[in-house]
Amino acid sequence: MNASKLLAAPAGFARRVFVWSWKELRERLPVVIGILVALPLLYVLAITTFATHLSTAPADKLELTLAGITLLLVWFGLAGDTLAGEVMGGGPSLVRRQPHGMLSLFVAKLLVLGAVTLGLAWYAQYVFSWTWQVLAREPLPASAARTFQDRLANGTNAGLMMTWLALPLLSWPLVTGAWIGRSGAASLAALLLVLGIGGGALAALHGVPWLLGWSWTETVRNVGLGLGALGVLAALASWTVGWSRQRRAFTPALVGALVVVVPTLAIGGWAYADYRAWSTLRVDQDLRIAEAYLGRDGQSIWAMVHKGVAYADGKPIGYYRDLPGAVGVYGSQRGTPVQAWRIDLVTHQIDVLNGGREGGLLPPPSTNSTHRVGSPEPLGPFPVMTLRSGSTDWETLDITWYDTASSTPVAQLPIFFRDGRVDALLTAGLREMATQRDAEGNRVWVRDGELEREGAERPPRTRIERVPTYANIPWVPIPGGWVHGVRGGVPAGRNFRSTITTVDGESYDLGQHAGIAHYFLDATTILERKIIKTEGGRRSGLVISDLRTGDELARYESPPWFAPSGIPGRLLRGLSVDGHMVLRLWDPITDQLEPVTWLGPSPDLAPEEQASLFGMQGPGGRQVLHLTAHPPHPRGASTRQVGMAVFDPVAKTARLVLDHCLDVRTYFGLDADDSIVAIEDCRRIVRHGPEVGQREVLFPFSDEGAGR
Amino acid sequence: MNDQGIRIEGLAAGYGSRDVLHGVDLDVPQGTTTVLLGRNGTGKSTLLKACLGVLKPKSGSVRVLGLDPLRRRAEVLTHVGYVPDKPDVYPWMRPRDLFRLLKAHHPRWSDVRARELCERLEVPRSTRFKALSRGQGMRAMLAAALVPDPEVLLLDEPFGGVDIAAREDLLRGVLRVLDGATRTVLVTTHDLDIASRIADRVAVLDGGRVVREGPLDDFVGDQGAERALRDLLVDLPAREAAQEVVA
Repeated sequence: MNASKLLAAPAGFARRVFVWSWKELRERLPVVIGILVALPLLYVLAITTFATHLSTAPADKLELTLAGITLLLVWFGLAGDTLAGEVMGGGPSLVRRQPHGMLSLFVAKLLVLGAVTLGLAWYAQYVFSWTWQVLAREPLPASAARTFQDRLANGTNAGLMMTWLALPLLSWPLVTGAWIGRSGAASLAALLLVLGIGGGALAALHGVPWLLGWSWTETVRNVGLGLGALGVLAALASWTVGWSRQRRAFTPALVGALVVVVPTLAIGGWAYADYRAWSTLRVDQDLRIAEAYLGRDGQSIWAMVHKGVAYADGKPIGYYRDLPGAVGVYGSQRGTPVQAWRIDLVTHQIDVLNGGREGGLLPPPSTNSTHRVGSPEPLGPFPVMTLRSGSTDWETLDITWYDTASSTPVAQLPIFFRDGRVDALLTAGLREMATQRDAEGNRVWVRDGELEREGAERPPRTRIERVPTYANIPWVPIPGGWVHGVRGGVPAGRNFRSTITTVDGESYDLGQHAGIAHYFLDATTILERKIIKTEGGRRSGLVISDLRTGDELARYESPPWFAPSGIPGRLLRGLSVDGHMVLRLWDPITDQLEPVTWLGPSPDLAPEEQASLFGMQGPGGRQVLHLTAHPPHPRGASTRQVGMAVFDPVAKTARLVLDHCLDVRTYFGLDADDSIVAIEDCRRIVRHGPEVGQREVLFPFSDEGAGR
Repeated sequence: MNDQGIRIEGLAAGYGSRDVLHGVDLDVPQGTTTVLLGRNGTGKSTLLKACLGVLKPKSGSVRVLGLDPLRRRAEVLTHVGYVPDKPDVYPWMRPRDLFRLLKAHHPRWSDVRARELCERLEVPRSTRFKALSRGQGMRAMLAAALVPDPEVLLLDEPFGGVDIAAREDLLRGVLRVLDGATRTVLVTTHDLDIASRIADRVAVLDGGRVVREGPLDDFVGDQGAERALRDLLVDLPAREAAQEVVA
């Protein structure tokens, strides 16, 4: 058989589908044109009319509502009179008396309806975006402006929902229209079908991500495609059944309805049961705490919680991907749901954020101007919290901004977008948290990649705008400035070019450094661990250099252990004096030591032992220190934990809070009284200190019972 | 495919629980024009539907060109042309649009033949169907049915519901295309005059059965037989109403 014969059948089918598609398009063109004209007017009317009645949270419902209206226009305008209208009537209709007419017409209807619906959906999303943009430029009443600017439809977030909703909903008019000859009845029947299964479908949208690890938008897409495929199959089946049996119109309709409704109810029922089982998190023995942050109000904990599976080593981890037994924050891999909660320690109220759907809590970059040496996790409290939701792709996330002083949502915008409210919130928060000061004593901080100074804050913008990409590069604080252009929030090692910006706004290239690790004494002085030549050979030493001139200021062949102090030009060291550990502020250039006063008892340190410290900066510039003791080199297995202390760089005092060290991944807050707040065993939030031995379980609350 | 025209044996068909045909036997020889006469509602259209394979018989058999139209429908439809009782095309279409649609379904479609038929039948190709007169529309449907050069042509009451002038117009068109052709034609009508002008054979459908069948000469010429036939074809209510008027 030659190629032309092989291709004859599909070519013929394609020709038939083509001519029927042309006929379908031609018939529906007036309606399509009408929809194209009406949509922008509809959106303008809807947005300007209903904007004043919306608050931040239901902003996305406006988009869904408009998506639904758009689709209804498609239904009533296009999909009402489908196959049934072609075949109903007394005699054999035009399509029925053509060889292979029915199948090609059905396929053509499917294609045209699909293309038009998708095209309209995409058109609708850009019209929506354009309308929003245009109206956003116009002066609106204050109340309308507040809610109206909550969402800038950038064509991605809004359109995604519309597009994927359009696909499955398209199929239902085909299902009913296959039998019912009246366009109004077909559309009404389709609408009733969708309403009837709406509960199950909605539950599926909530339930499935928890089980299958899908994000909200992925679920909309996948379940929608599934429903759509089911609808198309049901339509095909109903067409075949109705055609072969030649009965009255509603007989195949009833048969087909059973085909559609029974599996739909089954899916819906399963999804609902799944949703109930997985998404209702209670404070019980199965509750796990993955991450937590202290709120500015002093009584709120913003936590990521999940159910069941504990982490492999019993410790929460900030970013869980690729870790065995870990939970994907955005539903990436594992099955247990991860919810964002706000826990009020005073009222014992628990607010489940984001409707219980996927969402990740995180303080925004640069909120806490801290040393992030030793751990990438900052210490709270934080005045600003963000909830990231809506997508597994970080570039299309939605961000809800919270003021943790009042625990209220301030704005919800797509990622990388800011408006005046977010500007004001960030400025206030960063100013409060700032520990760096310029030569005049003004606080200095970094907001969205640019320095900002107390008394010279940038005014809040007047409309929604996208921040530059460089705003997302973290600025790592060092005494007297910041290093930016680094990877992972920790100053990177060898061969990595970065920039230093001082508090006075001076910037210069860090240059390339081949050291294994480096620290900054201040904005112009770098300490590098290097292999240096000595009389005895080569050793791992410490070299201190001026970054601007390259001059070597000091070197140590056997450098002591030290930790950042938060004070420019000074480091912290631990020494053994009379069997106790004393802390000293150390100038590594002059090798001078300055005493630090212990508030309360000091830990023990034998004369032969050496102390090593590393610190994490908390609010107000205080350092949380991990103290360990070990014999001289090598450290080996005899390192012992001494405890954890809080160093105050202003008063130059230290307080021992714990007689052991917590895993750096478990503690997340430093309270005003130097007590340390931590996650314990993934199940509890506890406060340690301020005195050694003091431990208080903050959550679960005592009246919950379980989990203590 | 053999040379047989249409052969129907013991056909019983209907809609739901309502049976319309109760065992119809009809033979339409190849190359002849058979007119199926019967009152409205006697099942003429139902029989044609069975010939097209769009109605499943409850019993009996239908063969068109030796093929079962139910099982080999696409093949049968390729060789069968059908003219409905009124144009059932999308009103916005023009005849040339219709031809474009049908061309994709019929491998033997010929644009040349389409043009020739339109000229012979005086069909305005570029006028929308909703703007055509009834007669023009029916001639357009006739042309559309004939362009694929079907071996079998079915016409379902093509002359019903048209005024005399349009009927004559259409009739001339039909005669023009049937003249000299060798296709098998089955026409349904309740008009004996139409039958007398185009038929080779006549079959009478009454009570769901073919009650009489034979060459045209058996039905015309004999006044008694013709009167009886006319009585049979006129609707009883219409006849009673006419009698009342006469009275």
